[in-house]
Parts: sequence; C-alpha cells; structure tokens
Amino acid sequence: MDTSTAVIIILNGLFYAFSLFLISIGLNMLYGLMRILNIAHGGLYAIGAFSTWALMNAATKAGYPIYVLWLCIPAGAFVVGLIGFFLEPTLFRRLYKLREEYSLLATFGLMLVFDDVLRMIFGGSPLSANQLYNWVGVETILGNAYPMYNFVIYVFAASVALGLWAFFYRTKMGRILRGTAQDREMSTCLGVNASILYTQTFFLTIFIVGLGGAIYLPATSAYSGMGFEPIVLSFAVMIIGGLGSLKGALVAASIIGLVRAFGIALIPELELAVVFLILIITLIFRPRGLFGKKFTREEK
Amino acid sequence: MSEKASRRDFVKTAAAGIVGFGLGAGVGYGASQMMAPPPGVARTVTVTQTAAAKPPKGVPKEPIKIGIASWFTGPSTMVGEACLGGAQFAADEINKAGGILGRKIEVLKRDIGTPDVTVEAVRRYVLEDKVDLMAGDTGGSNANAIVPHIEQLKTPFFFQCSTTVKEVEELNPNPLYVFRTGEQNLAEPNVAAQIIAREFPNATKIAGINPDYVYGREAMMYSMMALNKLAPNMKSVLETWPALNATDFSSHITAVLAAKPDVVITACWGGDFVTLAKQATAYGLFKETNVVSILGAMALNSLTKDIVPPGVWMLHRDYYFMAPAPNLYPLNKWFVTEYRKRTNKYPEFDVMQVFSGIFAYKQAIERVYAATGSYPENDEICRAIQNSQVVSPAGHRVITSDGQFINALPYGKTMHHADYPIAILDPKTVGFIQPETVYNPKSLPPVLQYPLGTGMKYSDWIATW
Repeated sequence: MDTSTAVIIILNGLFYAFSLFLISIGLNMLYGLMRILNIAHGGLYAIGAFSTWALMNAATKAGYPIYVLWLCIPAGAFVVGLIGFFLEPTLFRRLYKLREEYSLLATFGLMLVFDDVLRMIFGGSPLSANQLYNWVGVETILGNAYPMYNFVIYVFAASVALGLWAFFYRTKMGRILRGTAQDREMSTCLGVNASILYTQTFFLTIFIVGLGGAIYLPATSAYSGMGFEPIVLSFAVMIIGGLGSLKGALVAASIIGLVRAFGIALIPELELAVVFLILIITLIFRPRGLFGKKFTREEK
Repeated sequence: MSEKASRRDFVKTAAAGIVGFGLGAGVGYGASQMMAPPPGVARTVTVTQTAAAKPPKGVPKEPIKIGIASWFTGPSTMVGEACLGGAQFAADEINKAGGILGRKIEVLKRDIGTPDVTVEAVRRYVLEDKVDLMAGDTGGSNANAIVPHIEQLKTPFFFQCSTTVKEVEELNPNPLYVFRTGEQNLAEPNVAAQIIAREFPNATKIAGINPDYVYGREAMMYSMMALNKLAPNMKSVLETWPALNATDFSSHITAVLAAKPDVVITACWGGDFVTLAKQATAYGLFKETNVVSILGAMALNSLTKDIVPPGVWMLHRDYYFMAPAPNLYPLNKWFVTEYRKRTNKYPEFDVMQVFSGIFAYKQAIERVYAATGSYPENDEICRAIQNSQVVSPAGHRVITSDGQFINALPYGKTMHHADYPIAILDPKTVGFIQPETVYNPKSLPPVLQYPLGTGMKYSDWIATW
C-alpha cells in the first residue's frame, strides 16, 4: 500500500469514526447521567437527517442562497431536540426509576414508531441533499480525489468533543450534572431542580444526535431504517470505550473507524468481524471498557 | 393518444394475450403463440365485461383478495412500496373494467422481516385473511423460508425478484403455487458478465463492491463464473463486502481505486447504491474506472443527476421504463404515464413485475372459466398460468412450466437529459440480453432447452459454455 492510499484510508477511518462518535456520545451521556439505554437514538439520528432534508429541499425550491442551506443543519437538529424536549417529561422520566430492561424495550418500540412515522411522511425511497456536498467540492490529496465536505465533518465532530468536554469539566452546570448523576437525592437536597436539569440534558443529547444525522446527510442519504446499523455499532463504541465516558467514546470510535478502514483495504472479508473482534477482546481483557469506571455489583 | 383510449387499448391488448394462447394452454410454446393475437379476441373481453355487470354463474361474489408481503418498514421499504404500487395499479384497472369475472380485487399489505416473521405473514394471509393470491419481493433468505409453506398452503405466490439459486435448484425445483414474476437473482450476474465481456473486451482486472449477504455473494460468484468463460483473461483483484444498509462506502471505494481495476461490479441496491454512487462520484471512481451496477436501478427514482454521472452501465432486471421505447410501444407509454400520475414516480421493475403477474392471474381464471364453465380452484389457476404468456409493459412475457416469467432484459449506459430529473439510460446504448442466454435451460420453455435438456444445475450449465 502506498503512502497516499494510506493517508486516504486514515481520513476515511476518521470519517466513519466521527459518525459513530456523534451517535454514541449522546447514548453515553444518557446512560452515564440517567442510566437510560436509548435505542431510539438511532431513530432520532434518522429524524435529524430527514428533517434537514425537508428544510434543504424547501430552501432550494425557494431559491435561497447556499448559506441558508448551512443553517438548515442546526435547524434540522433543533427539530430533533424539540422532540427530545417533549419526550423527556412524557416518556423517559417514567423510566428513570425502572430497571434498564424497561428503557431498552420502551426505546426500541419508540425506534420502530419513529421509523414508521418517517416512512409515512417521506416514503420509502432514499432522499439526497447534495447541494452542500457538491458546493464544498472535491480536491486532490496526494494524487487522490477527496470530498472536502468530509473535513467539515472532522472539524465539526472535533468541536463537539471539545465543547462537551469543556461543558462537563469547566462549567458549573457540567459539575452539577455530574454530581446529580452520582447522587440525585443529594443534589436535590442541595437545591438542584433535577427534573429541569434532566430535561435540559436530554435536549442536549438529542440535539447532538440530531446534529449528527443532519451533518452527515449531505455525504450520505436519508432512508427509512438508516438508524439501525449505527445504533448497533454505537453500543459497541460504548462498551469498548467504557459506559458513560466521553473520552472513551471518542477513542473507541476512532479505533473502530481506523481498524475497519484498514481492514477493508487489507482483509475485506473481515470487515464486519473486525468491530466485534475488538469488542470481544475488550470484554475479555477489560470488561469495563478502556475508560470505564470500575463498579461492583452493589454499586449497580 | 388520449388517456382513455390508451387504457382501452391496454385492455384489448391484454385480452388478446388471454385468448392468443388460451386454447393452447399446457402444450408448450411455439412461435405462433408469440405472434399478435387475432382481431376477434377483443370480443371475448366485451363478453367478459358484459358478464361482469351481472356475475357469471358459479362465480363467488366475494372480492378477490391479494396480499402483498414485502418490506413496509426499514431500509427496503421502497421495494414494498413498488410491489404495492404495482398491485394497486393493476387492481384499480381491473376493477374499473368490471373485475375478474365480476369479482373486484382488494389489495392487502403485510410487513415482513426475518424469515420467521415472513413465514408467519404468509400463513396469516392464507389462514386468517383467506387471500386468493400473494405477491411481494421478500429477499432471498425469506423466499427460501416461505417457499415450502406456499406449496403446503396451496395458494399462489408471485415473487418479484428474491429467488436464490438454492430456492430454484434445491428447495422447490418443481413448483406449482410459486411464480417468479421477476428475473431470477442468478440470472443478473450473467447479464452483467455478458455486458462486461462485450463492452470491455480488453479488460483484465475486475473488482467488486457487493453487499455482505447471500444475494451479494451469489452476484459476485456467478459473475466471475460466467466471466471465466466469456472473458477468460479477467481476474478479480479485490472483492469488498460492505454491510447491507451501510452509510459509509468511502473505505471500500478507496480500496477498490488502489487495486486499479478495469471494471468494478456492484450489486448494492436501494439506499446503499444511492450512498455508494454519491461517494463514488466524489472519490472519482466513475472517472477512474468502468462501473457496472447490477441492481442500483431498484432506487430508480432516487438516482438523480448529481448522484449518478453519465457513463455508468446499469442493468434494469426485466423492465426499464424507457425500454421498450414508449413512443413505439403504446402500452408502455400508457403504463409509465398512468403510474406517474398516481405516484409521481417512474415505475421500477418491481411495479411491472407484480402488475403483469396479476394480469396473468386474471387471464388464467377467465380462460379456465371459459373452458369449464366453473370457477377454477387454485391449482387449476396455477396450471393455467404455467406455460402461458402475458402482454405487459415490458412486452410479451413467457411463463415457463416452473413459474418463471421471462422476457428480454434491458440494460444501458447512463446519460443526463434535460427532460428527466434522474439519470436515464442513453437510448443509443440500450440493449436487451436474451433470456435464453442467462437462464438455466431448465427454466426455459421446452422449445428453448435444446440441446441441453433439463435438470442441470446453473453452475454446471455455465461450465458447458
């Protein structure tokens, strides 16, 4: 393999890694803070893509300039965030005190509902919004054509990772959130309105996953069921990186993305097996994940 | 041609097909049966339609129920929608003309999933809903699972696509209730191999980007099997296997580009092909090499010009909305126009397959009734469909003794045209592969089986080339 190909493979690996990161980070936050395993996250990722498509389509038909299409990305994510804002008090709040199996079942049902609703509204054909992808264009990197929109995703995902880190570890609200996650009763006694805090956090996590679906739309396409594959791999990211760990999600997603990209080039037959091989090795040698907190049965 | 006149023409033409070979049912195929039916045929339809106003003697009053079993959720929803669209289109047209011997058609739909779920869907259709006919594109694994149940339940099922080599050769080699209204999965790679051998005679290196499940694996395997005979110098330099419903193909494209193949073959379909094509355009795959898409056409209405560039060779299974040319074949013109009015989409091959299947079902019932004076049982209907033919938007379709609908298979190279929002096939490049060269002789009418005879496995047949 020559150097130029290796560089493109690394970039491709990061492209895939960041998509996993943007989904799994929301999952991880929800689990870390609220102990909710939200399968519906995949459906929300899809809603992010579809709502952004609808907005971009309308903006294009109305003849708006290209910068308006960029605004469609956060706007599409905001639609998803609003759904989260509505779902938290009506559904998820009832799940906090129940065992994790209940949240799995409830959110799996929600995922199916989301998928059906999207199909009812948008139909079954794949939908593409290529304007931004084409506008950013293609450049040659070491003799290989490469879509520059991917760099938009790199910058965006890195910003999300940095922003979240700063939020959790450098702001008062982040500290309150982490404290509430450790002991909700104590935080409430100290005057924290946990209900509002959870709703805000829920909005944030859902907004991020919606942003993931929205920003990846120009590079892929929106179609019914698009959230199923990423949600499975995102759980693998969570387990490998460690439940509830922001750093773990970023590192695990990068490992999976890069190993998969090189695996496809070198041993294509093992593409699907590679991710789960890493998962199995992690579970054998470090069951709590790379950056997960060690917990005992009593703690759980 | 006005809309009304076109529909009338269609009914006449379809009816012509009914009688054109009606009396010769079960006696094999001859060239005379492929000829245009005599003018007097139309009168038969008039009788049928008159009779429809007053139900003929012995005909049940209940409507005919057609159950569509396909994907109505998930990434393959477009397939289910196409099957349902074709069925509803056929039902509406038949109902407008008075139904089948006065019986109106009702179309039901039921979602499928894993093989277990699909088996349950089929059994519930027959045992609970009491359907008369089922149809749907179910995918290869599901087809393998439900085929034994269909024969046991004694209710006809019209598959669109979905049939695997295992199903055809091992699970149900002599079907009665199973019909394949779409091209067999095993035939497509053969079509692709013929195109590659013909269009790229100097190519020696081929690579594949195929979905990692039974269909994708069979597509690559049978393509190479045929190419070994048609282009012996062709060697596979890389075969990649993205997961079904993948959202990122960039690593596969980079790996394939690094292998520097002369031709790339892909059996990715639906949303997978749309994403693959979009990313392949950006990575320069279409500029660097020749691409042959086996099943990308399934997402016909999503293949916009910024996704699929000119110059991509595409197979369209057994129907492409511009082939037969609508200006030369009024039935296809009417079909495309009416379907677009209904859905604002160009009809995919699944639409034509289920549509022509239901008309074959209709003509079989009317034919048996005309001969016996009593409403036929399911086994009689199925035997009357076998060894017959049906007039369809794709042209005349021959139905073999093992229930395979056969017609010439269109393909071509993409181009952009101002009148179409999607990439279309360049009419100058559109060609048809004859079914005799892609189907195992066992699947063909007896007249076409010479000199190989029947009972031969597909792989053994290719080995004889």
